[in-house]
Amino acid sequence: MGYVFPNELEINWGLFIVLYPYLTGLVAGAFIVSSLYHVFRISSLKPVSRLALIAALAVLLVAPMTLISHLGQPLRALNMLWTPSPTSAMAGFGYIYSFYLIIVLLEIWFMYRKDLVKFAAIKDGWTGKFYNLLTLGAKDVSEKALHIDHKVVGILAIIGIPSAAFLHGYVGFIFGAIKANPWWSTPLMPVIFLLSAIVSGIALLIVIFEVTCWIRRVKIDFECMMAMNKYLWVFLILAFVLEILEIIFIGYEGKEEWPAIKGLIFEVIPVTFFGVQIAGMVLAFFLLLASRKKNISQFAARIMTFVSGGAILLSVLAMRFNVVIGGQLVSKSLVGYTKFHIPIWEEGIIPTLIFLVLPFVLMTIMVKLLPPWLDEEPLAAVTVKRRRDFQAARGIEGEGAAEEIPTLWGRAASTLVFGKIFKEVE
Amino acid sequence: MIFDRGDKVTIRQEDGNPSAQAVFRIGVILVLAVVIFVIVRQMMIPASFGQYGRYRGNSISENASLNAAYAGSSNDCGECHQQEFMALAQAQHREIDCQSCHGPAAKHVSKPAVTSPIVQETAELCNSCHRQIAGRQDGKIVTVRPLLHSGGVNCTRCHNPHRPQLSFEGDKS
Repeated sequence: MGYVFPNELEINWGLFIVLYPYLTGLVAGAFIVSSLYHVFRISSLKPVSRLALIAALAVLLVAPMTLISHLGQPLRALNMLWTPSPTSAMAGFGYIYSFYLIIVLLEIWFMYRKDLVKFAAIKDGWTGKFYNLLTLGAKDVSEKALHIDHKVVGILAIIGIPSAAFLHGYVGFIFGAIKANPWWSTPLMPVIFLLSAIVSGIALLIVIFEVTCWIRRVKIDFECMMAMNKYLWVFLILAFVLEILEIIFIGYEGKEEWPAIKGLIFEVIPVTFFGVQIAGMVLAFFLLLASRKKNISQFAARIMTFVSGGAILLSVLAMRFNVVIGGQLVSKSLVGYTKFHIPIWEEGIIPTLIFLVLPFVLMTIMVKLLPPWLDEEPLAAVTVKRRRDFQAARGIEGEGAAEEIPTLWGRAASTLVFGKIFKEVE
Repeated sequence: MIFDRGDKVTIRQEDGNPSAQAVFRIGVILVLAVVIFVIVRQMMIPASFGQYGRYRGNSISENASLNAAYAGSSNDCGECHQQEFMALAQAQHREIDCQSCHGPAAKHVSKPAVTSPIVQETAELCNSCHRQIAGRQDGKIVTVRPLLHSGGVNCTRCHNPHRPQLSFEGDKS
């Protein structure tokens, strides 16, 4: 189509580079939901505060896999940490990512420390030993210690917000700073990426929350769902306005690149741009708005919120595609477009789908290890014998009686009981 | 520990319960991790890194000491392969070095009997220049759509690559 230069025939940044900003965006968004509870004390989000962090960690672990697979030299991956170029935005990735990973891991550890100690005490064999290792020997679960944990989580969440914003803003920065590409080059890019990240993260949590409640057959916390609904709507408006404003601005300015960009969105990528990205946002906007009307039943409101979440997840994925691939389709000649063929295997549709499913596999494993549910009896996962023993230990009054249980776990369990383990932090 | 000062909590309480134990242990692990990272990083940075710029200085001498894989020029080939050399000198391909198609031939020049740089007869080689693609202007180079043009038959069946204008003397040299 039109005239393109010979070196523009190949689309170098393929589907994995589409996935990378998508996945980090989900991380940043999920983290910010958890921070809304921990930092801004929005208590209605408490039911998903732990789930949000587990989801963030699962996606965070998959995100660099896309980059490493794209580059195809995994053994050189760490060179970026050994000898980073100080003037390269891309080289900053290693440090920004590692810092953020540490923040998320620490926050999860402090949040779960009480549970880890509990599991270490009441679980059998290797599982118990594994939890014991995870506690790092810090088994003090007195009220004072838990209070400190709580404070540390708050501090980590405060550090985490700018880190999350930075991790994702920098992805937008890399695209926005490419001055030769009119579809990318705008200082607004980091902000656009950040807002769409928050939107996609909230949408992901809505979908996960709804699905996990359905799988676990528990009643969904409607207040929590509608709180996410509200935040999704607010951030959606901001994200939508910025994305549209950017294009209107280029159009109104009408500089020499406008015909090329107009052709791109109207002729080259109209399906993914208008059909998925814009339509998904508009659909979610109206569904979210309607779901909060008084005459809508709770069930209908839930379904509408869920559908909005799904629509947003698709819309943001399309937005990443339109930015990453769309930007490479426009020829530097500004009078032609390259074609993009989606391969099957090499950086193709199948590994892309695997990378999209992998976070959920990791999430399932993590949720089994560290149950994020706050509505469940914590002993449900323990074997019957241990549960009986533990409950017996709980029932026995007085220090002397508790010492009748000679096993190690018995002693630990009695410590837990007297340390008022089951009292919620708040 | 910063949290201790801020919260006015001592690490060891009066009853012997260390309530800031968790923060302390994580702090120790983090410090250890940073120290280990700094040490490992020092070990991993190549010795000559940064000698001339942000790359391994030794890589220059290493590359310089490699044996050249390519012979000097087409003239070296012409000393023995006069027929092909003369044909090529008058043909459209005259600006292309022999080794562009035949591959690096330094070994062959020094010991002709040991290796022979024969081109595997593959359409892929020709297509790397003659395939019709967007951005490759026809006229400067003759471009074709390979499958329509030959139906998969090897180019050298009809074209003599040293004198590629069609003359039905392919396969001869």
